[in-house]
Amino acid sequence: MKKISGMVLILLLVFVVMGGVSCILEDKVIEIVLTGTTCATFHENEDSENFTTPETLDYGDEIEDILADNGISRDDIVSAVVVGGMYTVTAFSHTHDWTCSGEITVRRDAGPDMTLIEYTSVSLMATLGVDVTADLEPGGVTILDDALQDFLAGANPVLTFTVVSETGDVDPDPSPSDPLVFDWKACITIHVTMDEDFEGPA
Amino acid sequence: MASPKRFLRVIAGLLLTLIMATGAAAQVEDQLSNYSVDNATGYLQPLADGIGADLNSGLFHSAHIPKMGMYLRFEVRVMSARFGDDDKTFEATTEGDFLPQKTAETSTVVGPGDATTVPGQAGTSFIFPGGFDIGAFTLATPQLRVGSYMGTEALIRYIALDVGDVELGNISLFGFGLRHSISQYMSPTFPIELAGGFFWQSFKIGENAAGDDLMKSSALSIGVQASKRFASGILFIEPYTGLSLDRFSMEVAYESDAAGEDAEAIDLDFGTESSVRFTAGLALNLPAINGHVEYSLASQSSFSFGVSIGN
Repeated sequence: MKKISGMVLILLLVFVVMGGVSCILEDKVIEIVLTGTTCATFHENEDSENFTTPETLDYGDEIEDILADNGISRDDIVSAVVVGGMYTVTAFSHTHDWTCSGEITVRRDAGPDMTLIEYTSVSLMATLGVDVTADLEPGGVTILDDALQDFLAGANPVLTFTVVSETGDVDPDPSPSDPLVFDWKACITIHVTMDEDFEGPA
Repeated sequence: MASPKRFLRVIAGLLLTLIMATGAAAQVEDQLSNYSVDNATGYLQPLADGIGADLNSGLFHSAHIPKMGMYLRFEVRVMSARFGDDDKTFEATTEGDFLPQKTAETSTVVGPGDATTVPGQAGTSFIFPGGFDIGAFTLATPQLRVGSYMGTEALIRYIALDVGDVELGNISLFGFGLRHSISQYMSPTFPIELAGGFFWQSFKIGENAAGDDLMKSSALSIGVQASKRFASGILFIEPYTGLSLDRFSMEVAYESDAAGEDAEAIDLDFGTESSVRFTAGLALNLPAINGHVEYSLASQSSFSFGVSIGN
């Protein structure tokens, strides 16, 4: 009987200890990461290969929309970084292809234009509906990054993206009888992190 | 045994853990949204292993099944699978528009909460999300054991929690199985009790943005058990053991933002994992109440204990 009582005691201890251990909850902080994408859309209707197409983007509003979609506010964000960029042709209805080179610049308010994306010999037909990952340029990324940090500090940055095409950039040459008409968009992907309290098992 | 009040507190705490786990499902979905198939699989793999180990634990605490006679036992089982250091990190690959493509060792869902940042071209960065810093996946479930007809008993597991928040979704577990006494076909002098049977379960956690189950899994265990009772007065202790073939599958459905502007629906299928499980445990029987504790050796080992009340 003594042995049995001993077993009862041991089993009781195991129960209490395991029950206690299982119920220990710790306050933890986890870094949640959210992915967001902002895009500038361009409509081209050009009869010359020398053209510029600006598109102004309220970057602050765009990021606010991303945050709202995920149910968080600007104050929740710990950090934000530029991840990368892409472009794609969204509308193109010519019977023959065009090959384009050029760049997309970015400017903050009245600041200088800095190159963000350079593209070379892009077939518009081949890019229709295809996401092309862009090689970003450091100058443009710096402007985007500064805008992100200022957004976190409470500012509402406005950015102007401009498509720049110069002599020799479009083949064949557009003309009034054969104008270059297409729609396209360039997108920037960002990651935002926030700390979230989490009460979970140890 | 522990006082009923203490026992109820323990169970309440475990149920609370389950509810919070359901709440965490929304955060898991946030973290997953940064990943497509390959990274998401590596991120969630330890959780899949833990759920599989827990579901296939705590199915028996004796091989003794009377040939005839009605009994009804209400049981509460707590199953816990601990995670090792290897489960905390995995080799992830950058995704989306990030250049150049890089790999980095970063947190799984049970790993450290810190995010991992990788530098890229032209001042860009890629951030891998953190984990939930969990040492073990613990599951508590009520179950009902009913017998016996021709030496056969049934076991039913059921739990459904509605946390009252559409975003967080629900948690539900349903399981059913049968066990049959092998001992009844053997000589009464055979020194141990033997039984065999199967148990099937379906387990669902959370709700994704589309309103479907975030994670759903199913488990099947087929095995044999042995036990021997050592009586002393109204008390007896009963060492028991079991060998089973377990199968487990899990699917996760979520929306990924990794590919760009438009969210992509991802259906993650972890396939069907099979493993052999060896269980050793000890039960203490008093009139109308039984306590038991066991350890299972498998590809993901687990610990389990519980209480059974009934005739």
